[in-house]
Amino acid sequence: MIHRLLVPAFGELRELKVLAWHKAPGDVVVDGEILAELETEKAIVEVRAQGTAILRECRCAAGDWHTLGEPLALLSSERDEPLPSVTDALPEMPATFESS
Amino acid sequence: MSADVAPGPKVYFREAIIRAFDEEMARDPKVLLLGQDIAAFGGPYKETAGLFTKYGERRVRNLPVAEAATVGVAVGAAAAGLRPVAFITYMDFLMLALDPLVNYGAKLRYKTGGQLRAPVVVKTTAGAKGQGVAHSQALEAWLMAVPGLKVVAPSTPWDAYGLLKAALRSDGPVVYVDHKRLFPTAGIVPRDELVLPLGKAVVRRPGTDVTLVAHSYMATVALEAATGLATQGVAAEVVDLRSLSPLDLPTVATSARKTGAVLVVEEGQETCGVGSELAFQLRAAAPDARVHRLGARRSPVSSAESLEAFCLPSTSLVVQRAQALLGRPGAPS
Repeated sequence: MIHRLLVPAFGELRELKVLAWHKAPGDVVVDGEILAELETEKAIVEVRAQGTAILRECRCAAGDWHTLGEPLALLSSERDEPLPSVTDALPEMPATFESS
Repeated sequence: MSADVAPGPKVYFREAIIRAFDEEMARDPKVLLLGQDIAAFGGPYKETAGLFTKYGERRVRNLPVAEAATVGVAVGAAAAGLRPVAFITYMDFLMLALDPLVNYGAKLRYKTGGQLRAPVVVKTTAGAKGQGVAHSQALEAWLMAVPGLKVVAPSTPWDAYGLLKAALRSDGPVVYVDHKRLFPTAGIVPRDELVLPLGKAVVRRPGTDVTLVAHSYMATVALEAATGLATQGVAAEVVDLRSLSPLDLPTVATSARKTGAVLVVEEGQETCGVGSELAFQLRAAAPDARVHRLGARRSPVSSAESLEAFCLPSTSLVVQRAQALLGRPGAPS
């Protein structure tokens, strides 16, 4: 099963900065582990996966700006599952987004 | 953004402000910051984050909730030779500090025959964003009426950076106005140091049919309206004033003579507003242009989201008014 990681709405932000990835494509992300850090206009947001999965593709590099509404990353349950070209219909990866 | 200046990184609005403060504080030890929550807390919008750690408590000072005293101290310190910045979190509370700003700061040079000056910056935040009658106003037009006072209100991180630097080097008092709805936005800033001139508007989008004039957050609303008008076959030119005093009449008039129709959009009240002033000045500078104004409804701004929105110019209202000005029924957008 392939999941897409979507960032929820933060106020009126249309885009936000990706500060760092703590995992690389191919890495296993364990339930509760930190996956990425984002920066809103006033806070750092820690992204943690809920459930274990394999990070397959980061759609926005660290230091770049991510447009809200688009997937931030794709994750899969099996290592070799082919990634679809269209991601709109993929289920959402459960995750927490906590501001520090 | 100007063509001959190399673009740098994309940053949040507040980061552009921090950079301007940081560069000017490093350059000139006389620059100091005074206000509520600006020291260890890093500013109400995190727009002074890191400066307290870097420059220390002598140059980044928390002051109590006492706006008249804050601006009074700042004007006095400026007269004594420093370059203070007085932070007034909400522009509504600048009312408390108008006496030191208007009667002392703005008149000091005149009153002393040029012996004293007040190089003070009042940095404040205007505009409505769900905070009700006394935390929502856009009072820039009041300040335009004060001789000796400069007023700037940027709409992009680029201009926030360049205009704040200019304000920090100015010899007289400058009120620098942010807008609450601009803080969640991001944009490119210059790669290298840049000081923008005070009193220069900029054409954000060229067009031939109608001129939309705005400043601060309403410049972004005007740009969205111009996109909407384009889908209805109207080429709107958008002029972002950036500075309200001095007011860049030549740039507005050039556009007005080209399009023949001007709609001034502002978040403040229409009565004695930016639009009223420009309409009169354009009578001489662009006599053939039709000029209309669109501002807030004559009402306090509610904290209820629906009522707040009802009070203020929206993208669709700008589109309608521009179409009406052109004598065409505005298509709903």
